[in-house]
Amino acid sequence: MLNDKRIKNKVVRRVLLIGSFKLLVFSAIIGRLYKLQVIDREKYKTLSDSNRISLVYHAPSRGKIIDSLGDTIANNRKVYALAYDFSKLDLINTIDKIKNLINLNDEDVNLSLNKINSAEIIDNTVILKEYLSWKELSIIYVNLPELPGVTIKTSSIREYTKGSFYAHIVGYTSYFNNKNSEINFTKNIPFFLKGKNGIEKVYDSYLRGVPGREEVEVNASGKFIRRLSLIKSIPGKDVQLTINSDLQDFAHGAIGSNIGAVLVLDAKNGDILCSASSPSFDPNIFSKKLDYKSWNKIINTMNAPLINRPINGLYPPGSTFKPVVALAALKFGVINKDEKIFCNGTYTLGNRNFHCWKEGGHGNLNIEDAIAQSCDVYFYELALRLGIDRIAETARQLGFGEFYNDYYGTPKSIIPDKQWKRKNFNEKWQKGETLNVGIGQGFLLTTPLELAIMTANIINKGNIIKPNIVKSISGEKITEAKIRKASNFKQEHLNIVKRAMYKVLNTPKGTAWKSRVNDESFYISGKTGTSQVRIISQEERESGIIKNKDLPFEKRDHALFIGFAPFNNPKYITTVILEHAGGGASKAAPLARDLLIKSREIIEGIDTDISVS
Amino acid sequence: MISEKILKFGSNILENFLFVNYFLLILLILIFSIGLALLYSAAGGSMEPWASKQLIRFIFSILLFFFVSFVSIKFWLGASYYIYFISLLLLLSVNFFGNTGMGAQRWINFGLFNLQPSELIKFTIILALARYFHAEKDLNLWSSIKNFIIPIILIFLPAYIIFLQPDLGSSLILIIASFTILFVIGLSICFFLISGLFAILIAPFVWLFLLYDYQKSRILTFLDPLRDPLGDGYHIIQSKIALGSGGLFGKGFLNGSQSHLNFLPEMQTDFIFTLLAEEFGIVGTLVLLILFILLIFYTLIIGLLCKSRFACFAVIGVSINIFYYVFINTAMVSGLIPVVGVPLPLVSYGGTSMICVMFGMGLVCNAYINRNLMIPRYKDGLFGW
Repeated sequence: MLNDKRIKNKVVRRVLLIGSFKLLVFSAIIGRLYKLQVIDREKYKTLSDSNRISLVYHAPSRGKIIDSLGDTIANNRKVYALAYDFSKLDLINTIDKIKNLINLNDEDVNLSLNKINSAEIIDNTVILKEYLSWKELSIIYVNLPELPGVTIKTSSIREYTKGSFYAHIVGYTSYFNNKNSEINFTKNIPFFLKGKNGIEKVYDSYLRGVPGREEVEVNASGKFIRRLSLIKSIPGKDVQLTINSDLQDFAHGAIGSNIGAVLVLDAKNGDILCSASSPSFDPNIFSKKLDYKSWNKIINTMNAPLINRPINGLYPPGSTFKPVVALAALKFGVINKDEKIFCNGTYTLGNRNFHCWKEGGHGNLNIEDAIAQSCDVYFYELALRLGIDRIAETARQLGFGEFYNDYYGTPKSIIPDKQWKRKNFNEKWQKGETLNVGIGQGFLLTTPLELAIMTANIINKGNIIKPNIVKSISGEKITEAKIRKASNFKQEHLNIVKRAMYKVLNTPKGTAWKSRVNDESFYISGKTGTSQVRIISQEERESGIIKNKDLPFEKRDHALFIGFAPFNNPKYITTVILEHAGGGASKAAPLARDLLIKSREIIEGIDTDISVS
Repeated sequence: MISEKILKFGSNILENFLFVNYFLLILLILIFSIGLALLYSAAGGSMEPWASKQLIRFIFSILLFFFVSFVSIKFWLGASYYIYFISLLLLLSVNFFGNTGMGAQRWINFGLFNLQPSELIKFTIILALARYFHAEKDLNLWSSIKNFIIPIILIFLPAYIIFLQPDLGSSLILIIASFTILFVIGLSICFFLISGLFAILIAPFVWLFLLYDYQKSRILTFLDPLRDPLGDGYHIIQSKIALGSGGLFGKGFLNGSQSHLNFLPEMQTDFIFTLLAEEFGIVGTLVLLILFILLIFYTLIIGLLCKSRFACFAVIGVSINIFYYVFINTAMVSGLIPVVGVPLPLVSYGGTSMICVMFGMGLVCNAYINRNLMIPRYKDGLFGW
């Protein structure tokens, strides 16, 4: 101990004081460590994990869409983009080098360069060119050593191998983005697609698959260190359609430059064998980043190429609606198969004249002949006897206005009745309006699919069918019942209508006599329709109705045909609608005939004798 | 008496080792070993680049420890002022020729290590103060105004130079540590009251006119670390995450993710305590803290055992210095005080602090060996007494 008496005690006292102070300080430190390391350890553990663990999602490969024979319609394709790490070297020099090798669009390059300082860029790379061709890709690969900073980025896009022929059926896809609230991912999943339209949208839950999740350890600058866990992505399921591509191709070819819709259904179960919509577009443009040029081209093309006409197109059915009225009249007993009604070409209701398409009239007709010759006056009379509500009721029983699933959606078709008129116009139903509906005009609007389903329901021995476009998912057949229920129509009545439709083609007075097929095993039956899209005035009738070809295009009649074949055991049902093409008998019926014959040829491999005796 | 010679090295050099305080030495080696293991881990399980260099420095420092222990304590007493002035000159030279690091001039490159005179002065000022008060008859302030002025000059001259570097933290630590030493060696309470009053009066002027923006920012960030989570607050937040996530037993040796994934840059130096906490949990941090507490109190006791003022004051000074190192470093990494560049003695990577600490410990050992030696107040000769 200090031998200095004067300060010894003081120093000892002070040392004790400072010693206590030190103990106090260390207690505080230990307390602090206890708080951080024991009490709050879970909190900091979580913080530490979120610091170092980064979640990476991997897009699953989207299911394919294939046709009924297994040919690919929609697939995934690897695409390659030319990327450049601008943090490293002299960009402009490299761009010049690349320009000597492949074609670089200055506009795209400038766009990319402008992005360099924007927040979008996270990894110091800009894309100089997307969707490299194989040739460009190989040129770049070979020259990579001389292009420091240049990398090739791989990504995946949806490819529609059959292009515009399936555009409306399969629809298209788009990428998920952050704003998408459907799935709550913390980060963007690159190349994860969702269906935007058509089959891609309605069957998205099958096609999409489940993204893989990878936990990756990263360092403070976000660089990959190692993988901690990996849940593999589950690929989407393949969806097989009932569509036959050969028939689909043929249908598109047959429509040609016409605008319209063509449907072929399997008469037994409602499988859609072909569904063509014209005009069409190439869905592949939606797979790549959509450029304004392509988009403008689509939306500025006349005649709404994006509408899926067979399903969503709305048309006045014209005379193709007459089987519905006939069936209703038989059902409600307002006529029997033998009663004849006289047609002199004009039907008068109050002080208004309603005209038959045939000037001078058809004379005396029973129900079968009235359908075969498509007599308007006969159906004015039937409609009046029935009243609008009974027509509408029957139409609905035959499938008009029916919702099946999201692919078809709720039809926007209009089956007018008294209630509908009150609701939409707040007006009383007029008898004259019933007459118009009687011949498939007036307020009535239907879709091509509804007409096909109606046909199927008439000829299917009292079974009500529903349309079906998906054959199997991942090889498993769709099990839901295709035949929904028995209709409450009498077989006898259905046979009358069916026979009448036979007469349309197979009796000389039938409206589609010219489109008949003389092959016993494949008699085609059907009903023509020519729906007016304008009102013919009294003056015009007096001075002579203007011929269709003399009218401006958008005022010309729609040509319609509904049909089935063979008559005895119907296998195929078709609806053909050609907008503004003219008469149903002259324009739509021949196309329908070819389509039915082709269907038989493609599906059964049987040629039909088309010689006309 | 062995004190007759400046150096005791002679025919019986090995005899010296009999007197060394081996408990002290073992404590030092234990603490160093923990540091070495952490440096090995910080490099991702490698002796390079830090652990091997640190080991060489430690071996050199052990030699220094023995050298300082064996040289006559009278030599150290006689050389105190010279050593102090040399370190003051080194400190000044840094302001002119030093290497810049982290925005401040702090080092002189000596090959094996970068000498940081601001670290050195913390120990040499102990010698100067101990020397001064060894010779003073009375430690009462009122007996002589000189007792007030000289220590103030001894302390504030280097503190101001360090402040100019600019290194506010080291400057403040020097002042606080020195005043603590003055307190323990028995200076009148009035001295501290007057100094405290003065400090309060000039504080606003210092804030307004002398502090750089980044220094103000550090102080503000300490008050609210989330003020700037990626800037000044980043270190505190990441350091607390590293500490807390270690939990009771830690993530295991070499498994500290915070440190290894660079969320804590440069953690081999001032933030190495976080690596210990992360990999060994509170068990690890308590073991190291207890070793330091043992060291600090053991040296304090050695100080009390010494008969001469110089030995007593010097040893207490070293103890207080070590205490401030440990306290400031651990309080800093656990977010109790602002971030100031203070290493953890013998654990943090760095040459200067290790050499300074081992020099100080050498003095402690020397004092222990000479604890019964009484030294007169007045000097005779250049170095001798």
